[in-house]
Amino acid sequence: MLKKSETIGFFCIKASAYAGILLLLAALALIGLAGYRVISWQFLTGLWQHQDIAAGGIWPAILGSFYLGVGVTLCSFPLGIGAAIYLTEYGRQNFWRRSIEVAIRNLAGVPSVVYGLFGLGVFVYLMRLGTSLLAAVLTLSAMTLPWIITAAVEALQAVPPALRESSLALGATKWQTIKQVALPLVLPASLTGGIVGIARAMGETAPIIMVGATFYLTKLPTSPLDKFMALPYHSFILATQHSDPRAVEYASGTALVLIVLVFILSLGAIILRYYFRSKYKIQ
Amino acid sequence: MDTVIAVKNLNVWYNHSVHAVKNVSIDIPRHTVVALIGPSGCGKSTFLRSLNRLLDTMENTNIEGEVIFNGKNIYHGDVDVTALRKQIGMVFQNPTPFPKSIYDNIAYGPLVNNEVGGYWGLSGIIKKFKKRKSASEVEASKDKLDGIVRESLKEAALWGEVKDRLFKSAYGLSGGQQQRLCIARAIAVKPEVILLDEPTSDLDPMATKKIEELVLKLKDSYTVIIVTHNIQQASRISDYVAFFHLGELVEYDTKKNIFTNPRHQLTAAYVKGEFG
Repeated sequence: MLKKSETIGFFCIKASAYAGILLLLAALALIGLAGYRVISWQFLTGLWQHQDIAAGGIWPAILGSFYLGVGVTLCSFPLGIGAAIYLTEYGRQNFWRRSIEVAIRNLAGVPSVVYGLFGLGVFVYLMRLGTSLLAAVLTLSAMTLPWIITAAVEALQAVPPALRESSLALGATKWQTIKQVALPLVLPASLTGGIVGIARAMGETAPIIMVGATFYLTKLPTSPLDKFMALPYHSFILATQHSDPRAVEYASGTALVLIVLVFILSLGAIILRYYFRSKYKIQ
Repeated sequence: MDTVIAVKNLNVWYNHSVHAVKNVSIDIPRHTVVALIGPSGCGKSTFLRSLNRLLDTMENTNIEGEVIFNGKNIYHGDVDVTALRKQIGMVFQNPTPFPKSIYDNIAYGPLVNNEVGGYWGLSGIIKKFKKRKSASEVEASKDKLDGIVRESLKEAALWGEVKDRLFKSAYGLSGGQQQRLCIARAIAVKPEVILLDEPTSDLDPMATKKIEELVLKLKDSYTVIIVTHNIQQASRISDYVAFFHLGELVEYDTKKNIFTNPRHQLTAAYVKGEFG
């Protein structure tokens, strides 16, 4: 028999767990209901028509967001894992290392618009990349880095010391030990943290407006230095700036596509992680 | 008596304050099994780790004294530490297979020591894709690496149990098999000395028995130094026994003398099981 107060407490805990799922489902249902009617083959694959929004599609924005996601992954994963390896394996436990770690943790909480300003100042003007896909990738990578570094540092610290010592005891160098023994365990674990960061980066609007996203392009980007369209910004403009009465519906349709894209990305990460785990039979 | 390792006045401090090993001197005869016994925290594991310079990897550790291995002090400045560790192998308390296949676990040592060549380059990558061989193919293979893997597993009495799953993850093996895999992995680089740090403390009696039989067999080709909590184990497999207490080497003698005629009161009390 549960006491009455326990029953109430248990109900509250259970309710908060379900609230999380409900919120997600509600958001999905709302966007889905508002936007499902505009989804068509033409909407997914056509070029954007500014005069008649029903005549074109959002293919340039899908492609732009896809390029961003791939670019950020390629940029921030190697850098983040490299930084994590340096911090945990080579950096000595001292004031500087702790300062760097605290800085990285805090960077994860910096508002995205600040990253946008940073990207505008450094990548667009200082490095003369202009407002471009490349500048946006670098800006969003800087934003994603702290997530990946934190996840990888935690994964590296979780590698059993005896495993490293076994490798050293066989005459392996430190680098061979990291590469051969630690990384196979660290990669799947840091994938999870990394994918959260990348999904967040793909959904960002504020920073990419400053460094290269644009609402209307007549052609697809052909070089990393071109401007590009992106789903979140496209949705934002449609919902708030466009005069067409159907604009809100199209904004919801665009948001739906973005959610699905991020979902596919997460699913890919889960499959990859499962593959790593089963390959090494990690419990 | 042919001495393989001679330790002279070895001292180890942790964090500049804890004096973990106190002025220990000991001669390890070649092709014998030497058991290091003593209660927890007596410095026996620390002492073991000083013999292959694994202690160096820990921060805030100070080591003084000499460890003469084949006539050369391993703490001398010009010693190649990775080459030294290849000659003095080690197996740990918990089995530590790498997140790799059984074959790759054994091949790891020879490959990182560049004994078979062509691993980090293109030919190594091609080899990685080609090497899914069956047990009989590895059995008959003339390839140097295949030979090392096969012979090491046979020497560790594991070949029969794993030959049909050489390319499956080593995590699929039982605890005892994993520990024998770690021994096979250690002997794959042909060391002269093998250090065992309580290798059976996590294993059941049957798996322990197999490891003990293996240790007795290894004595013919290697020198074995084993840390153990288990006094009976020391009496079953060792030739010499060193009793440590509070960082000091209290007594070091043949097994017979330690168990039947110890010189120190403390040793007598410990081997009788009066404290642990």
